[in-house]
Amino acid sequence: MKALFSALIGLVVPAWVRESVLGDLEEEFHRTEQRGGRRAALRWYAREAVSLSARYAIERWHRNPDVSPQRSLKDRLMTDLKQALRNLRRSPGFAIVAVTTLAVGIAVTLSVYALIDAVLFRPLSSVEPDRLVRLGTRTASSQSASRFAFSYSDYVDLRSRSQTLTSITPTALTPLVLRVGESTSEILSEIISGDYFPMLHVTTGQGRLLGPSDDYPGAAPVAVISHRAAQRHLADREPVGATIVLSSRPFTVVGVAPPEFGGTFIGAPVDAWLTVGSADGFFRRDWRTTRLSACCRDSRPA
Amino acid sequence: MTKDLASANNVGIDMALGEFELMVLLAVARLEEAASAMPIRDEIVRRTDRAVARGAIYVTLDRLVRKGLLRAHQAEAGPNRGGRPSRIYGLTASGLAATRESIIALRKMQRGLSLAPDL
Repeated sequence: MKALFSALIGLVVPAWVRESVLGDLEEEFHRTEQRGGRRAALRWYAREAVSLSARYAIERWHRNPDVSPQRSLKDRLMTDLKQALRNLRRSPGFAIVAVTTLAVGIAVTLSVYALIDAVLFRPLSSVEPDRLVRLGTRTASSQSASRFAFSYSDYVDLRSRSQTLTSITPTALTPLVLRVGESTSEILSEIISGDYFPMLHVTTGQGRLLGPSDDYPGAAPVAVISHRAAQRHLADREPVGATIVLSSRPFTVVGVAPPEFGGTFIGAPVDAWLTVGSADGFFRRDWRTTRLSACCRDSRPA
Repeated sequence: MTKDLASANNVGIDMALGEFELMVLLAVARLEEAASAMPIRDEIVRRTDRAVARGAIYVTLDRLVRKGLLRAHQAEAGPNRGGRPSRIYGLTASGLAATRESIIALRKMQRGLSLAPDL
């Protein structure tokens, strides 16, 4: 045990005094042993060795300019920063590679996070996710299904004949220019059918959502806007009942979607929803660019 | 200004002595050739009736050597030291000057006060 504590002193005490310190301790150890026996002397030795080592460790820490408490954290950080900048200036190639790597890394991380956020953390609706589907078409020559190849007529046919889908809605992502008062900005809108919000079980934030009664040819120009758009463009007034201009056509806002809902396009948050019936000029029924979302019939046993 | 005053007194800023350092220097001056760590500690304990940690003595002696106020040399190993030498300390000229300056400064500050009885 004594050798162990001697080794501890050997680690901490500077070389130029180590031998004399160990010699002093040895001398005192013998005196203590003669007075109180070996066990008492060993206890004394251990206590002195620990105390001595701690004292030297503290002294060394105080003398070290890099860790001394006399240097503030700010000073030490500034020293590190200056050193890093000097190194980068000396090696510009390394600096470029480092900065590029960081930029690409951050961009990839943000993209992945946005995807994970949209898919995992923001459920599309309160309906069971495994019952929601997107429809695609595949031709004999194509390898993969296309999800943007439906026309409005396809939607009407599928809705009337499908045995496995309880509801189905077309969605067409359309950029529009929003004007409120004197300010204008470009937003994304979804042109939908009256089944859209009921199918997704979205609950309203303010006012009401669009339904089948808003979706017929020549329907009144009404729209639902996102919570974000209400805060950004209609913060100074009551959004429900306000008139907004979408690509030169006036629409009455009948409701605001809940904050967590941003449409069905991952990574493309939507700020306004219009029905097909009120979107003349923005949407043509013969375009084969519409996406169809549907809700399957619940196949689980009751 | 402080620096000028210090250099005028032949004691640099970094030579400013703490109370314990002054005690160690005075103990070394008293012990002369017998001034190794443990006799220095015993001398301070005996004269001031204070408990002094062994580590405090070693660390202070090291610091005074680095400041150039003490010099050190090794002496032959005595009995019961496991063949290890002892280290003997002595005042350098700077150490002597610093000790004198500190004592003079203390006396000047004390003069006319009745805070402590004459020893």
